[in-house]
Amino acid sequence: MKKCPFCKAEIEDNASFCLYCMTPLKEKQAVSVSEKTNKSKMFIPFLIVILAVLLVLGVLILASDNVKKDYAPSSATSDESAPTTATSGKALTETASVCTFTDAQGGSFAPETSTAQSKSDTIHNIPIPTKTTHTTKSPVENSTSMPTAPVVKDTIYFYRQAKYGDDFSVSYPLSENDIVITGVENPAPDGKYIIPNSIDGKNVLAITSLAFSEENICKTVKQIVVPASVKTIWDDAFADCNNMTDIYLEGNSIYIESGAFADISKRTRTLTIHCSADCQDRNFRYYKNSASYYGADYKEWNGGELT
Amino acid sequence: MTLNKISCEEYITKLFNTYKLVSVLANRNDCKTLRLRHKEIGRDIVLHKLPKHNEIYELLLNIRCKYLPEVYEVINLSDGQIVLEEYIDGLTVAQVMESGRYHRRGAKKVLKSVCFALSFLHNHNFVHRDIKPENIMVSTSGRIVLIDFNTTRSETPARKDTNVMGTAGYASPEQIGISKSDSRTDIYAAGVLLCVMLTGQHPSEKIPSGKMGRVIKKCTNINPRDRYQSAEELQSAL
Repeated sequence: MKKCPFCKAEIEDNASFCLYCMTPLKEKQAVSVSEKTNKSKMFIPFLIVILAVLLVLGVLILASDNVKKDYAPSSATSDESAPTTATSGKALTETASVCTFTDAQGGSFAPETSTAQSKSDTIHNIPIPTKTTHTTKSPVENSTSMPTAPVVKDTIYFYRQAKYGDDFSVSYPLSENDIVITGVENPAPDGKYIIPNSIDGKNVLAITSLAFSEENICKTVKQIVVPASVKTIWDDAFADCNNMTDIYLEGNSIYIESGAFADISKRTRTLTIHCSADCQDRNFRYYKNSASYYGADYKEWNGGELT
Repeated sequence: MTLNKISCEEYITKLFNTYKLVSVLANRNDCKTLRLRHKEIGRDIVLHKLPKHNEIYELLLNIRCKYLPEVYEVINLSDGQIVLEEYIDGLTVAQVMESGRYHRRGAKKVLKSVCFALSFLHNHNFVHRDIKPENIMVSTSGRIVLIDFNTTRSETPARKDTNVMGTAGYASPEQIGISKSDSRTDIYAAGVLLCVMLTGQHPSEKIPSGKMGRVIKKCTNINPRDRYQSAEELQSAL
């Protein structure tokens, strides 16, 4: 029997742990957990992209002609009220009440129908009320047929409670009042999505993965306004938002994960990120695989070029 | 008093002078897992009572790994083994999944952590053999920890596993069949785990599309040779 060096209690000679003061007595070897970086993965796409630059330039010239024709917002506020003319690279099929469009890339989008619980089968299958409006205005117009006149409809954001188990890259003590945006029910009329800083009195803390990636939403996103309450934008939040051109960050500190804008590079060549008063406006090119921190010290942004 | 002369029950009874029982975490076959609290300090600790000597704990005793529980003490007694281990305050992945499926990023994080833990075990020639959501804890600080080493065994290159171990659905074909369990058995279970986290269903029923689906398919290949051959390989695929 020996004495514990900390509490002087009598313990076994070969004890590794003192039961009385709960102090480990043994030197332990720390297991190194070096993370493998994905650097090796960046070489191959880099080489391919260099080779493809000339091709891309050529495609861009062609694409810039087609962009205006291909883009048809799925809500009823389209300038082309009755899209019956097929343009190049676009196939139009008409069913009884719904028209669907497929563009050259194979993505499809359809005009908005009033499906109230379209989010019931999503990844975030939380038994909490998920639908809410952030302002109250005139009732929603039921549109099941091809609309002929613009309809002003409030953007409805789906949300759920921020939960224990969520991975916030910056740690926050979560309260019951914190929610995260999980989706959007209907497209915003002019492609400008103003995310509220609170819904139903609850604080909007983050935008989750794929929140804006639903087929009927992603192509309509042009501008996003992110309020100061949002602290994290997760991977793939704006995946496939090919037509996004601007993002306005109203807060002075937010963490945007790498991959938040995944796949927008297919069309968007310049994503302008507008920061708060202390920051300058800059034109950013979308930089894949980088996580960028926007702080009051704007110099921390280390975005790079899209090749 | 030399320890190895007393029985597990006697040791535990003596422990109750200093600790009180908070809950019984597991009680199956001869293996008991108790959550104890120091009466004065108020800190919790986990006690495992095991019928047989399990070498994994002696390995864990000497190391500190973020993805594995810290083992404080291993005591070999006349009728078994007692292990004192860190109590992880939090939820199991299974409990987290009760309120909804994981999204890709969360599932990736969990699986990467599991891969770290597995690569450590495999490097020391241990196979966990029971990778499933109930055996992965998410602590209140966001730490992912692999727990429950009751089924962990040294790899048996020469002998065959005679006992059918593992959990239905997570046991790889060779585990329930006649071949030996090795590190690729854990890879299989990790693939099932990833699938269940993302879709709520077993890979035989539904596999997600895209990259995750490809990873899951490779993990759960019937032929161990077609799977990822190591946890590191799986981790870099994620």
